[in-house]
Amino acid sequence: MAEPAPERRKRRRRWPVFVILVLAALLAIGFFAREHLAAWAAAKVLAMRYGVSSRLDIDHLDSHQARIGAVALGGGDEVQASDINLQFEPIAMTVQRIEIGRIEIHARYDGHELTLGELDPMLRELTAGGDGAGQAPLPSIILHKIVLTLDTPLGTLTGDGMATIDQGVVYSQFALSEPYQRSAVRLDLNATLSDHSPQPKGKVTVDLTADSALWTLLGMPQPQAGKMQFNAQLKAPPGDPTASGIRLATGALFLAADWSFSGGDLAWPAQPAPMNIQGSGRAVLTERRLDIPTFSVKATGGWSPDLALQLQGSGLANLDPERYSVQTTLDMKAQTKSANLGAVQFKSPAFDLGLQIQYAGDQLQVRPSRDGTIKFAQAAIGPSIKLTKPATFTIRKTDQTVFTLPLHPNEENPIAASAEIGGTTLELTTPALAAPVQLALPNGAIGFTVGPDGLPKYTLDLKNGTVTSTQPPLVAKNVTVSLKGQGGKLDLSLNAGTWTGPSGIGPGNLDGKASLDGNKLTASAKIGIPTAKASMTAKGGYDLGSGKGRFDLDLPEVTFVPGGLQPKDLAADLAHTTEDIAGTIAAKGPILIDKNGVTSQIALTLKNLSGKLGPIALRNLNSVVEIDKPWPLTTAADQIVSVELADVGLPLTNGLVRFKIDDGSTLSLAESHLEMMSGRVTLDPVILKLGAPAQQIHLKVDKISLGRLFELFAIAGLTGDGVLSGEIPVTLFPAGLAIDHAKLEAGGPGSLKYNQAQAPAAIANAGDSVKMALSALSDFHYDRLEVDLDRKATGDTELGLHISGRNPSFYNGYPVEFNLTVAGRLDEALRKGLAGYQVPDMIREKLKSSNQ
Amino acid sequence: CNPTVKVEAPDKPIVINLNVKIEQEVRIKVDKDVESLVNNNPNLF
Amino acid sequence: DALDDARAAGLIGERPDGYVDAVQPNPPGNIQQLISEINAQRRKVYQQLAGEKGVPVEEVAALAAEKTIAQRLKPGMFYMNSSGQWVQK
Repeated sequence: MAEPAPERRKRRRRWPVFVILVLAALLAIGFFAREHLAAWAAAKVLAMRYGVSSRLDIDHLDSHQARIGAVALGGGDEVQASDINLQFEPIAMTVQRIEIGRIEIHARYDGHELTLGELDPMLRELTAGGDGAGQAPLPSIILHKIVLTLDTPLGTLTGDGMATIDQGVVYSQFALSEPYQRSAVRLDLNATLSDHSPQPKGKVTVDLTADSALWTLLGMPQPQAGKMQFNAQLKAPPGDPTASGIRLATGALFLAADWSFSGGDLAWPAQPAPMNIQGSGRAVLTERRLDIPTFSVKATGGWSPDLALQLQGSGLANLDPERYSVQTTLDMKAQTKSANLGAVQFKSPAFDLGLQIQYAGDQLQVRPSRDGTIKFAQAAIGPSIKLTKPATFTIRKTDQTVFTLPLHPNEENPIAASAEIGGTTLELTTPALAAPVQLALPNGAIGFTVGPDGLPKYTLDLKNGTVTSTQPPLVAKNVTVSLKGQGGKLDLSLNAGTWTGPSGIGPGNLDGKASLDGNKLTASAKIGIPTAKASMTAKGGYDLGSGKGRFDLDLPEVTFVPGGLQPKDLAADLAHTTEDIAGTIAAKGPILIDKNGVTSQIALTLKNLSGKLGPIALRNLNSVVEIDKPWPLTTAADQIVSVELADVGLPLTNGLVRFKIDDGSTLSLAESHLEMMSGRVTLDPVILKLGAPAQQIHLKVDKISLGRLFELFAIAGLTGDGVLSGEIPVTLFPAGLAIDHAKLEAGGPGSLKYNQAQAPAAIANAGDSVKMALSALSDFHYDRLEVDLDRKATGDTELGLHISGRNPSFYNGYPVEFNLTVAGRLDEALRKGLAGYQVPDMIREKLKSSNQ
Repeated sequence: CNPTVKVEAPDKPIVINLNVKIEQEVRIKVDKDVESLVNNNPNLF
Repeated sequence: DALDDARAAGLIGERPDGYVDAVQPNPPGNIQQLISEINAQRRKVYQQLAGEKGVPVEEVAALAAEKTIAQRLKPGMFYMNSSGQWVQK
């Protein structure tokens, strides 16, 4: 049933009043419930805009002031604050003053980062500002009580303190501590926020023990023991007071401080010794950049108990969590008493390096920004090989990274280093060698990688080095060494482009491989002398510990041919002492190394050697010579050589000579037996010095045939019977020889016949007196016969025949003294050898056994 | 060549001296060349 | 020249095998140097002549020794006789 119109009209007239009443009520409720409304609105804003749940109890809200009993932000109440008092200017919408009675922050550190749960995005956004957008002056903020609890995998850190920011002055005190005094952090800050303020004052001190959680929080490796004390003094740089203070007003944080730290007995798992370290420097924190204009650090211990390390330099860190990076340039000096690298011990190594270090993308990269040096006073490889002279390795300046240390090394990117080392010379001594060996290494590269297994693999590559030793005299040029080592094991390949050895041996080459396991070195090498198309192998081992070694040499047969390959192609010095050599040599046997030097048991086989050796022409010399010492050449005692013919001005044949060579310069000949003109020749023991201007050997001759002597002199027609004995002194010069008044006598009476018909033309028509004289010789019975013999170096030989006796058909046997001298040259006659010469059995046995 | 002979009185044994020189042409030539070699290189010989 | 001065000073003598040598044992460095230089050059010319004439090199060398001793050595200079003794001309 419809209302009467006036009611509706009254009602219709009354409805604007009704609206105002409602509004007023709302306003009243709003006014009275404004606190609840505001709290509700704020919570909604925080939830929607930042996704942060929150609870607010606003006690009083009016146009100028708000009192908030309690605030809780974050799902886990990460931030709780109580009795908060805000003063604000409603029109300008600016907040003049915030006062908080107590604020509790409950954060968690999960081992990787610090988190406030839900609040993180909001915090990132709020702190992401940075271009100082809002120019409005900061409200004064007073936090009467700040309580921080930080849960970390190593326990909970609790901290409390207070902070006020009032009219541009910041004052704060804060202390953080861990249970069991694991760490204590104190912050005192008093600074003004404007640019032109007096010196800000402020100090942060941090005391950490080894098991504090702050280590990992600050991104440092956790030590097992020791303590660290760090403090920073907020101080503007002396010359620039304006560069100080905290410019929060402009939204840019700017903090300059002098800092220092000292750590005592810090022990880390990988470090063999506890480390004591202290350092100091300056730091300027602006926004997300930490600039360390200068720092210096001194440390002892760590990598080795007596290591002393000094670092000076400057650094720069970008603290933006996404692009976190550190760059530092520093000078590093380090000394230690000794250091080991595999089998090598270095004495008092000293490092002096200028490094540029970059930490980015989880990797530390180091490059030498200047030429640096690594020096050591001495070094030893095992107890027997020593580097006695101080040596310096220069690490070349380069723009490439030299050393990479990933935070988490794995197979793809292990810890790796490779640096170019500059020229250095080393001097190596070992008891086995009488004099030191010099290694001149112009350049090379050294490197190492450490895989996840922690075992370092190191490489060393050296190019065109030179090795010189004086005893024995040996020079090896463009030597390349490439070495790979891991743990105690090491593999090495060595190549010598050209080497020359004692008495001009070479030029040769060498390709060697060696491996070192602990102290045991095993090596094999191919040693060639290209000009002689000779190549020898050497295989064996050397014990660095005991200094004992053995290398088996094998030089297969080398055949000399007159006009072709000659001994001088093997060893230049032999050019003066050998000529037109034919025959074959070979060598086989061990070289033995021990404390008192290098000896050997090498069998040097000489087979059918002929040609000129010094002044003496030889034919078919055979021997197996035992060499006791390769240098200076020394043979075993009582060596024997057989020779078909030795021309010492007179043809000595079928000889067996006993000898010994000492120190490569002394040839001692023992009593030896040879033959001549079907008589026996005994060589008196004598010691010959190689290269002496002149030396004499004495041949005692027994019953040589007079007839064979005349044959030798090619006096056609003259024959005789009887045998001669006596002495033949031979003078040996380096390139010639002379027979110096040989004297022979007939043992008893004999007869001479001279057949005029066969006289050479010169004599046949020489006139009557000669004819008469020769007729005396036609059938001469001598009772005494003496022969004088002289041979000059030129080969001119003079034979003096002194006979006394008679010729029955000459003045019917009247006594006659006959002196015949024959002058001429014998050499051609001497060249022919003995028909059917057989190498003596004892020598043939040795020859057979030596080439097994 | 020029062999020389001397004969003495018979109260002592007859003494006969005979010198024979065997010459080779090769040697004579070489002799001259060596002589000129020595004299043409004063600072060497 | 250097050779003559050394020979005049009695430091260097002629050997019968055609080469020079020190008259006193272990001579000073410069003399040793001169000796090896002179001998090296002589060896070369001997080998050359011997090669041309087809005669053993030691014969050429020994002949040169005779000629040198006879014609080049001045009185008082040293040479070595067949028994290896140093003798003054």
